[in-house]
Amino acid sequence: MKKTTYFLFLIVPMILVVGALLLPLVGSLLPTFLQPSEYVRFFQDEYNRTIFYRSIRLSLITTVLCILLGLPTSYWLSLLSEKKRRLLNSLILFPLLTNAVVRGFAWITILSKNGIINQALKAIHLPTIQLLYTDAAIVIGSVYLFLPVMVNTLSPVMENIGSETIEAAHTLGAKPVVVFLKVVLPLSFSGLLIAGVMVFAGSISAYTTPTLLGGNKKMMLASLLYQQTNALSNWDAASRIAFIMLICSLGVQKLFSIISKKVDRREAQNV
Amino acid sequence: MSFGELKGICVSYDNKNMILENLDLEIHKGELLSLLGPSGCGKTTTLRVIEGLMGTVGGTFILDGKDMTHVPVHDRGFGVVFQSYALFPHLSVRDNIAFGLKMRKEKNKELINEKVEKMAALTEITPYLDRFPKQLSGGQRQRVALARALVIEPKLLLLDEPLSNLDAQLRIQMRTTIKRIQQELGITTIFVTHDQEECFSVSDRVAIMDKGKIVQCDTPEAIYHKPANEMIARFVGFKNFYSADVYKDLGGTNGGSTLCCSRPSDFTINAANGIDGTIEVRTYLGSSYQYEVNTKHGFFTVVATEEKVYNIGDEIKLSISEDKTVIIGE
Repeated sequence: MKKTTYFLFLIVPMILVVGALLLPLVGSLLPTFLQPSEYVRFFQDEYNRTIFYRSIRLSLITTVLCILLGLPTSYWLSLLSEKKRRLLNSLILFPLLTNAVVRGFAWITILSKNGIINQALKAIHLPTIQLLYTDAAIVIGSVYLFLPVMVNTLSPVMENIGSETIEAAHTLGAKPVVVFLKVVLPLSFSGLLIAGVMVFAGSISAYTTPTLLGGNKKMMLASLLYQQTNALSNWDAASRIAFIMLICSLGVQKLFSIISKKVDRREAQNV
Repeated sequence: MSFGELKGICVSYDNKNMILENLDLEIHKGELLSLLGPSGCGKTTTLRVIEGLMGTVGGTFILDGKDMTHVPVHDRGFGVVFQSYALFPHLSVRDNIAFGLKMRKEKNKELINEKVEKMAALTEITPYLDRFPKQLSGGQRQRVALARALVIEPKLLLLDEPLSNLDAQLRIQMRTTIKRIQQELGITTIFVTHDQEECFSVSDRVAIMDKGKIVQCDTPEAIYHKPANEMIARFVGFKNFYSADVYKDLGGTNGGSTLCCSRPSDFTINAANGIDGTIEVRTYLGSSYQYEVNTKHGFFTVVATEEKVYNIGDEIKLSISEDKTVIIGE
């Protein structure tokens, strides 16, 4: 095919990208840039600051937990036979297929004062604990939500490493743990970066799960944004929050890519 | 006692269908032993059992007086060259070769460097030490894989179809390199291949496998001149198979009830006795011609020199001398 024909095919997606993605974004963010002092004022407010730091903290914890749980899981999956792997991969996707509200209420029934965990504690005569409407509840819900994203992004990366490469490391005297650290981890780092950014961006902008499990006491940026639009109709304030969330995600992406370049020298050397 | 021995090795995925069945194999010190056979014959499985990458359901593997059957892969210390080379893409050639030494908890950096450079010189990859696997050609990657396997000074060097990803010219060059290095280091080597020519050219001994069993294990010369069964005979270039009665017609004497076979180039054309036949197909092989000759006993494939060229339709007489015929199952 000629280059011009390729270009014709690209016109429609380009219009969609500009019209449906860039224009609304610019349209809603631009007014906030005209009053930069409002950004300063946002961070001067202690209530806002608390919510901002909580969002960053909980999203980072969620990302780290997803990496810690997802990395070994996807490695283990890649070692299984094709048939088992497919079955388990589709089971892992299950949380993403259920409705966010249903998922949230499912966790409420587990974590609430009279929930399964506290009932069990009562049964063995232990004091009950406050689980719902805490940071921990938000993290648990977010990890549950984003672990499938992590595993499904990493699985093809793990499969690409190739069984012979892993076997080669074994024959050279590397114990299974060492193979994981010295071969699997460096070779899946670029995938880990993408998955990590996806989980972070997802959990900092998630609304339903943090709102249901964190309640009004433990607000996140997304809940604050919702409050600004629906309760206060302060559209500029909402746009500012959205922009702050965007900057956070981009910042984390930049951070991850710096780390990734240091660890994975494969691409850098390949001039 | 021999250096290494596989005894009664059984491998099965489901305990019903045996992939290897009571396989016995002796490994002599310092030899290059080949496992040869068609795909699916179990040669790679045998190698994986030796490597420790494949579990067995029975049998033992003894090496140098030590039972290796249940020793895990990473403690066996064998050098393995994989079919895909399996180099670590995130490490430079130098670090790839040094990987095995570092895994052995070798802390002395100078010693590591010295060993890596010595091995690089031996495999002729010194100029590429600071490159990455992606920046190397197939032949260069092969040499790196070989250096990486050899630098740990393994008791056994195991090669799984190491030449199958190279083009024809490079294959011949690489097999000479492998043979040279193997002789220089005197390292016991097991080589898996499905290419008969490649295998016979470098091996000290060849184990021919079929359906999960070793059907003949001997020197290449012995197998070439005295194949143990029809499958092996076909593998080493015998094209004509016939009964003892036909053998008598061709000028032979004994044979009994056995199967006889001969190579296309071993026939004598138009001697005093023999079988009458008509030439039906003629193909030019470079320095000789190959004829398909139709006789009352079926087709024979015959190769003759350019001295006397026959045409399609020519009536000829085929005979064979006794020393040129191999009697199978004698």
